Amino acid sequence: MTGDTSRGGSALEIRGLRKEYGHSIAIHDLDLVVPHGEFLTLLGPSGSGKSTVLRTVAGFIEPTRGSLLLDGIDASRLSPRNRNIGMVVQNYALFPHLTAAENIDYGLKMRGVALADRRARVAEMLDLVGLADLGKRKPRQLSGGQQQRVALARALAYQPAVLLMDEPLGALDRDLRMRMAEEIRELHTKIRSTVLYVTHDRDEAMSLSDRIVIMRDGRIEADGRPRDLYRQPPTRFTARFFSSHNVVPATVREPADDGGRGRAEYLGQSLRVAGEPGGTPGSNAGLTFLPSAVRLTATGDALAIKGTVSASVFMGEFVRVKFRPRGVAESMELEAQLSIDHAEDLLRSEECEFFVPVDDLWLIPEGPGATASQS
Amino acid sequence: MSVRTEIAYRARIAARTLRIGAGVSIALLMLLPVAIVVVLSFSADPYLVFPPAEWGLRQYEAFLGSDEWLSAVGVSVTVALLSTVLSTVIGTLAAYAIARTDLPLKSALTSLGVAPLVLPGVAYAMALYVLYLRLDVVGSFTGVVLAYTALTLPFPMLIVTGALTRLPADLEVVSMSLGASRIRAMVGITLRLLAPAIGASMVFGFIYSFDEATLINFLGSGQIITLPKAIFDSVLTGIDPLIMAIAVILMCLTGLVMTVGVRLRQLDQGNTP
Repeated sequence: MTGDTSRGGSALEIRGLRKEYGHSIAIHDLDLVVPHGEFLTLLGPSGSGKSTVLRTVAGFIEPTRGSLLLDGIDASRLSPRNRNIGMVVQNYALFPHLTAAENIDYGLKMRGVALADRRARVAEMLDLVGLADLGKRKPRQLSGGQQQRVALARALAYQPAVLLMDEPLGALDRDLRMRMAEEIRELHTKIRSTVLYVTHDRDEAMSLSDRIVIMRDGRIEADGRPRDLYRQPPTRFTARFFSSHNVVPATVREPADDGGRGRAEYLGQSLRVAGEPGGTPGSNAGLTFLPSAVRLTATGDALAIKGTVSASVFMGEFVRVKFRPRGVAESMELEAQLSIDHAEDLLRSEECEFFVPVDDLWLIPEGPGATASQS
Repeated sequence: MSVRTEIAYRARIAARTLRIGAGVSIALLMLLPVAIVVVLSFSADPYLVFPPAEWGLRQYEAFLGSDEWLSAVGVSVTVALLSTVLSTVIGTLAAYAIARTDLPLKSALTSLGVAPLVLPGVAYAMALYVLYLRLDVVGSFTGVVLAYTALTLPFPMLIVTGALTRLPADLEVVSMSLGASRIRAMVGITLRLLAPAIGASMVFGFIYSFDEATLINFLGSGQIITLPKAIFDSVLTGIDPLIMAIAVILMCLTGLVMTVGVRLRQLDQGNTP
């Protein structure tokens, strides 16, 4: 199908894309290459420009500058109908007056495919998404999950170069959203089509994507595999927004070497930690760690943080403890997920010492000298 | 039975009696005149007498056999059709601009479009009359059609705009991504889905202008005689019982067309996915 991975080149290539609205800049000179068969998610808070990128690729927004290649062909000047893209939007926008089969057929009909081929293709698509018996139903006679499958089948029927998905699950409640995401992933593993997916939901992005591009203020903030971005966030924004890491202020003592290890200082403790390259001795940095990495006892080399417990909530599998570290900005609050056995006797406003093993720390340099890390 | 339940019981009885009484009086008030008209339309008397001394289809025959009355019906139908089609086209285009673009002063435009329905009929007719006098188009067919176009514009402005607002804009976006041209997406998807709303607004517009009797008295100048105007004129010179037959026919047709309109509106609600 679309994911002919043997083919050279990329399914989608965006070069120097810029979009200005009057004096405000929605997208700053963005470059992005999506290889064939990749599921790439643009993740970002609202207003980060992710939807603008998607609608520009679809041809509904004209870029101020920049070019766009679909399957190696310059599509910058093409109208949406000639771009060979598939699109799935929020609430699916199925045509309510057409049956499921007619919805799937729509793109084939518009492309002038012969009737016999259209019939065969629609049947094939209905079969692919497991709706072989429901082709005659109108959208309102289908469940939400079935509607999503029709929308996917409709967008994939004519084998578009790229499937664009604009927050398709944005209007659903959490449980349903995760179920639908599973269905999307299943279909993608089956047919390996190239997908550009837009969402503001981290879990959705993490569970669906081969690769995630995090956007912020019209720029690419981070780009990588979900696992890498989660464990080793390249920027503080990524650490907070994507990985839910704790970030404490630290100072770079030795910038990370080729092996990716450097030395950082936090309140007089000098630690050898892994981190992003960049920074100069003495420059500011963020030292990040996951809430689940926090311990109440030190085993081996560990970062020690003294502080007071400000809240502790029983969550079932663990206890979520919020604490204020001493010696840094007063407003700062860190989070720990502690096992029940250990956390049970922690009381509010109690003085405590928390430890984070050095292997769980990640150093993010900032300011001049620090790379923005967009590689 | 305790005192308290006794009181509650009596109160319930009283409430029910009141409700039934009110219902019956309203029904009588509303239906009695209609019933009288229906009865009178089957009178064979040359004058209005209630109850009729003789029964028959005389009034219906007189109406259907009169060139004057039938020509008034023809004028009414033509004026109503033309003005409804015009106002529907204008109103639908306006609805599109209001629901789908960042047009400035959108709400002002909506209020203006709906104004003819809100303004007192006589005041509006007077104002138009003065304007038409200056333009020297009083008694012109085009002038009357245009006046009715403005008068029926509120229907598409309200009904079609409402339906369009309920239609997701993404339907057109997706349709174009699937390979439809902009026109094809607008006509094949949006307009197709608006069809019931457009139909309903035409029905209401048609009935409204067909039935209108104020404006025509000012703007028709005795040269454009619609059915309501003809009835009006005939009543001025004494009541011809033939009017009762017209009234009955009108009531039946209006009821029928209204049913179609209401059904179309239901269809429209069903369109929303």
